[in-house]
Amino acid sequence: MRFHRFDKRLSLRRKQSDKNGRYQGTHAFSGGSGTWTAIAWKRIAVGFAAIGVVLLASTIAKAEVRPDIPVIRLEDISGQVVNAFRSEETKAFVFLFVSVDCPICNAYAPEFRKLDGEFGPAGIAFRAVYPNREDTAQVIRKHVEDFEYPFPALRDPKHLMCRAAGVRVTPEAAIFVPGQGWVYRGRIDNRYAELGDERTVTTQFDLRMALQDVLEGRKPATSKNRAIGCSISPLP
Amino acid sequence: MFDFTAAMSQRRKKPSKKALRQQVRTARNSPFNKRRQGYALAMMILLAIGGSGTWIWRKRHPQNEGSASAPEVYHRRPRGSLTYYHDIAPILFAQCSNCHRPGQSAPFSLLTYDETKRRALEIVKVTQSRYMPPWLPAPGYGEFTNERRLTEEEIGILEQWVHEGTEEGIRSDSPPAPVWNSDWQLGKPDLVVELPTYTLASTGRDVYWNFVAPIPTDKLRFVRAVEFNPGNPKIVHHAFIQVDETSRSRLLAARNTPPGFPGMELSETAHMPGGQLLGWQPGKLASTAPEGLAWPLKVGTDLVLQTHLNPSGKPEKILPSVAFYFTDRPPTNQSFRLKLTALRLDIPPDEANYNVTESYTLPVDAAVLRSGAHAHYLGRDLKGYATLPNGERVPLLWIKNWDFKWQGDYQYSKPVWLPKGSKLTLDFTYDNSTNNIRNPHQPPERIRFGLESRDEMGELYFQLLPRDSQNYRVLANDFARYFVKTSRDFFAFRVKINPADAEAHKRLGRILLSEGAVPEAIAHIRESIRLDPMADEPHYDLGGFYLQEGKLAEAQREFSDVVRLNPYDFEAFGSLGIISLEVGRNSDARMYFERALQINPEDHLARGYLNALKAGAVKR
Repeated sequence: MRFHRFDKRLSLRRKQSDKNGRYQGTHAFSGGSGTWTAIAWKRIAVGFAAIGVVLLASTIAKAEVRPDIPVIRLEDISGQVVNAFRSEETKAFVFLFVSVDCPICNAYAPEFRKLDGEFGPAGIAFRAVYPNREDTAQVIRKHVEDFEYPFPALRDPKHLMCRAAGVRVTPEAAIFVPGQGWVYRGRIDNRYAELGDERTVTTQFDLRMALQDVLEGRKPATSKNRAIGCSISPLP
Repeated sequence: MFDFTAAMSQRRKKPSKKALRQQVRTARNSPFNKRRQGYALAMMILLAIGGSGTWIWRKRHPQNEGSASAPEVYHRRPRGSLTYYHDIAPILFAQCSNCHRPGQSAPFSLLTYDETKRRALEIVKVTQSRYMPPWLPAPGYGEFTNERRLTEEEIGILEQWVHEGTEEGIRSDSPPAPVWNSDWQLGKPDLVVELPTYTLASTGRDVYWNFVAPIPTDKLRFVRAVEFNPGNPKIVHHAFIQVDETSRSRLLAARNTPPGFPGMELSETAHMPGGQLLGWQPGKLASTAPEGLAWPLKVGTDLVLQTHLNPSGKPEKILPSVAFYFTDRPPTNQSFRLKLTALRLDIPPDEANYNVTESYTLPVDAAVLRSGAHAHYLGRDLKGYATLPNGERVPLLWIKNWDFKWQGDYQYSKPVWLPKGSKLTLDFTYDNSTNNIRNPHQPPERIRFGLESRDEMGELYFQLLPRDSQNYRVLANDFARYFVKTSRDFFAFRVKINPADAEAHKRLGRILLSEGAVPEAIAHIRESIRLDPMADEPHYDLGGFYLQEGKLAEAQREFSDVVRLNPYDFEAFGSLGIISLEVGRNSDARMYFERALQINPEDHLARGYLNALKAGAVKR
């Protein structure tokens, strides 16, 4: 389905992780439409093993799960486990993968606020995702406050969301459109060409353009772009 | 130098009518008027006077260009033999941890295995691209102390270790973790000056902010070292330490809250003391002036700290401080800061390979102690060298991939001795194409010389040590003449390419005035006024000239124009006071001097006249 364009990357990742031992555990994502249910099932199986299947089904039915929206349960900064896709009626979800000590992420904070201000009212839901396990809830709370993130922040120390979105560095953005799946993954804009190579003037605003496409009902012209930043810490 | 100042202040104590004319001239040379002169001639001559010296090097150390060592190659180690504690920690401790530790410039620490493993991929990437450690000079072209440059061997070891799986190894193999002085690298300072806090906004581009603060000292001191503490090291990208013996910078700073002022342009009275290059960038180690080269710090001097700040994404407080280390031993010599400037830059759009050269021939023997280069975002390849009288070329500095963000100055491991007649050359190349990702103009535009970051610059500067004070004077005077000549050519060039350039007319007029080409000079200044009727400075220039010539009516008219256009110009009020005294209108004079003092309570000249008037020392 929509995941096919990331398949190559995911399999490449697996190969690398095998070699470096960076990624362990099962790879729930083999691409295709089974991805979301697989991860959901895994989480659910662990968390609700004691609860009956009927109760489970009714829980999900009552909650926000729609067939076109996956469930990925992450901890928010108050320590509550929530579905990252939990939302009001949303045209698209934008996950901004960040880390507290990544200077490039931090330099983008004003841009994040601007994007949220522009696209939030139009039905785009932004979430910050902290994939490094070094970033504890307490550290993240302070970070969110310091950099004035106007959107929810989630911890992803097991890289559930990272792997779903296929991101590798911070900052990196991923857009999920209900019914279409992941439509964009990569840099915010072209401000950084490499680590240490920063444009004086940003000339291409990739995330912004992708969001405009989404709002206008198109698939983003570019679905992925290499992001420059700090590698996400490998799982132990 | 000190005698001259003393003589000047003595003269100021007893203003008499007889001496007035002379004082008018002295006033133009007073520190308050330096800004007006525009050209460093007088200041350089002033600085050149004084200080007996000795030649501190006995040996010549010519360096040959192309004394290139064989290209380094990494010899791979046996597979799996590299470990963190045995092979990696020694490299990181020596070359990275000084910044990559808590509280320093770098965004994260590299002191432990876990910290290093987490950043392994980036470490390989940035060491291979030589983004880290930041060190711009190319190897083999000038030899510098405290090089922050990894060898190919070290980069190879890091790469192999990461790609073989970041083996930890045995802790006992590790060298001891480095220990740093807690506060100041050079130990306990004799004096610490804290600058007023500045808060940098979270958004926007990089900012130049200039801090000003008095250096509290009750007597003449000799400074052997200064050390800079950025206060917020993750935000301060580089800094230049300057001093101002006048109140100019302080007045500029007082216009803002907190005190300070933005921009790359400082008051012309601010300068690096004693010909030193006092720059700071992350990772630079503090150093002490060579023996005999301490610089005198006078009572009442202000510290002017120019900082380049990078927004972090959240508001940041910057509270830098500067430590001073004194010595009882007066200097035996003085170094000279020589700056070659590529004024004639005119870079067409899309030109990827624009080259400019600029040369100056030394009139005396001198040793190069330090050098540095400066350009903005288009600069790419910055090279400096000397050509000896026998034609031999001495490499001095070569930056092959210029990065404005990491500019600094570099101290030679041994002074580079240059005999009289050696030619210093700036040889810079600029890239004004879209391929240059730092190009601030997209699409590219025609770019000329200018101080703002949208303009371009080309500067190569040296800390030179002449043999003695006699040689220092010869060098300073000769260089001042060279500087005036190149400036005159530059502004003439600017007027030629753009006859509507008011600033260029003004500056050209000023230089011609100082050279005695009066009618031509006045024509240019008048043209400048015609083009920019709101500018007060050309009127001041004319006023000063007429005052010198004794044409009081004309002078009065020009200074009145100045205060009409700029009611805060205390010097113009002072000059009006002097004119009024000349023509015997003592009550007017009094009013003018009082006005000058109102604007600048530290205008000692105005105070002197006013006191003399009150005491009745000046009578018609």
